[in-house]
Amino acid sequence: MDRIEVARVDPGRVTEVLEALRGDPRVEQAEPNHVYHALYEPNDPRFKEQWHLQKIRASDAWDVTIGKGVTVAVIDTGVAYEKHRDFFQVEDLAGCSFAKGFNFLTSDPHGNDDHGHGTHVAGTIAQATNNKIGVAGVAYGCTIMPLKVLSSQGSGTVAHIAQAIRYAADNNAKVINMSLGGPFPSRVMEQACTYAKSKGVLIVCAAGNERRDRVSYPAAYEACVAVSATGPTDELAFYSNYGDKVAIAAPGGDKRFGEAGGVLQNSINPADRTQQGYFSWQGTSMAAPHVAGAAALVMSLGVAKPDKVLQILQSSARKKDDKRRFGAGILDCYAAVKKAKSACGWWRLALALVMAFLAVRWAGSSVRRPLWPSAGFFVCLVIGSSGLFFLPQLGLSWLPLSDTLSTGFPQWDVACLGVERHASPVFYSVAIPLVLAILFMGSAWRRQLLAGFSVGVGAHLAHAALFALGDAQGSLGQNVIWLLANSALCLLLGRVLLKSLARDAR
Amino acid sequence: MTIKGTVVFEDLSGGVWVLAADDGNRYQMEGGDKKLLKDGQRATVSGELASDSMGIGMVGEILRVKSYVLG
Repeated sequence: MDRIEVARVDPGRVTEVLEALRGDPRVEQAEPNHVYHALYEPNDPRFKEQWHLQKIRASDAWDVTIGKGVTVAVIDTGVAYEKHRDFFQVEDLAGCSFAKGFNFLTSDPHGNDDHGHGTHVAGTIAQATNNKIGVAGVAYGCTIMPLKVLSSQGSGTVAHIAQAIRYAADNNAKVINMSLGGPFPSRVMEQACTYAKSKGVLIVCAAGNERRDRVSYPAAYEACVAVSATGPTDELAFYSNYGDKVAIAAPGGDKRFGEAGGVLQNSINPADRTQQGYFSWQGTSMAAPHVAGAAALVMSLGVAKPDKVLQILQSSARKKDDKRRFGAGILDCYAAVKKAKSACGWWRLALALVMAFLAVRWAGSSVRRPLWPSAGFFVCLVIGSSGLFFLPQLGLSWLPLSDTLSTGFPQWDVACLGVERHASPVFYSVAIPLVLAILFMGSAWRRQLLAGFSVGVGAHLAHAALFALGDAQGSLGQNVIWLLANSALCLLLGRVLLKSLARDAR
Repeated sequence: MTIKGTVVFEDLSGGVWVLAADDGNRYQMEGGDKKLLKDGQRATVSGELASDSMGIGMVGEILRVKSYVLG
């Protein structure tokens, strides 16, 4: 009788067990039972052709984050993101999140694409993924801001480009992608880049396609991140610039290996703009958006300072010997998000423990009996501050709501209110701990939980103020003074609750 | 300025029109009509270098085409 058995085996013993099974005459066939997590292999039918996403381990990264809450400005020929006059939305951008953009050539808010380049670039960053059609994008949960500065022939003035950079920075974009350039610098553009960086924007640029030892501008500016291009064999693409200024390398395609060697995304056909299709293109233009998407993934986990984001991307890149060609190495999204999650999680937890210690001491100082926080206090402390950030590392990210549970409570605003309302002042304040405290402070054990939760939230806010959001300007919920003040109030609330316990216990 | 070279439809960034000059320089072309923009077309192109512009090609400077002579 035929039977199929599935056995649980320790990962380190798979080969050994397989050999033993195959040696057993009663066993017809033995093989590893690959369990595909719903998101590990998205259901986009042409994902398997996207060797460039597999090279950067994008689908593993999606187990941790998809980039929700981060706006990426695409400064380019426009994006085919909406139905407007003769323009239309390409099929595999349906359902993606778009922020209000601008067309600097016609001075109106319709940054539609009349070339195809911008749409292809936007696709690499945020193509609708797991939607059963087409292909996938690196940070498919992020928000795209279409800024059109380049004509239908793919060129534009530095004045418009500089305006677009400032627009992006002033309208809450956290990443800018510029897959454009020229051999000579421009003071106007350089100043715009410096301004944007000072507002917390990470500016990712293509290194250029002159095949030479010189990085194009704006990639070569201090405030920008220059990306060189690799092909399917992890070697530098034949067209890619290189040099001292290259920060990191990413897949840009190399069609010396055939048509399939390019980067595959959904766009409009430059030869016939009424038609859309899936195009395999090559260029440092295609490499830069992989890095922009990776930056969005990292930032969605709570890392906001551009230098810190770059440090995470570079330190986690796949090392290559030649720094002039590859910078810090080839982009590795999964290693980058693991690093980001871990770093933020540990900092938040550490802050939470320090603040818990302070709250307990402060509460206990005016009463004679020592005060011991319960296990429940610590559980809620973790929920409020860092969340169960170690879930992916324990292989538990398949649990329902794990994406939400593995971040601290204030970051649940994205799940509750939507991407646009990230850093909501309601969630990034003492408001919710206070309301919960008023409603539920009836019994002692509940006050333990509420105290832990309040101090935990306070720690998350303190982390945001000191390490992450503090530098970026934006909504009230990202303001340093607001965050620190609310953090202090959370600590105070925790102390009040704990003190009431110590008092009642006498 | 006047540049003699070959017009090439370069398979970079989705496709850019490039003037591969005989002196080895390459320029991304801005402007030019259907008669000029043909892959492999030999031409002497007159125009100005758009020092205030940038483009998707990144193969060199941008050449704003004013006039040309085929061949």
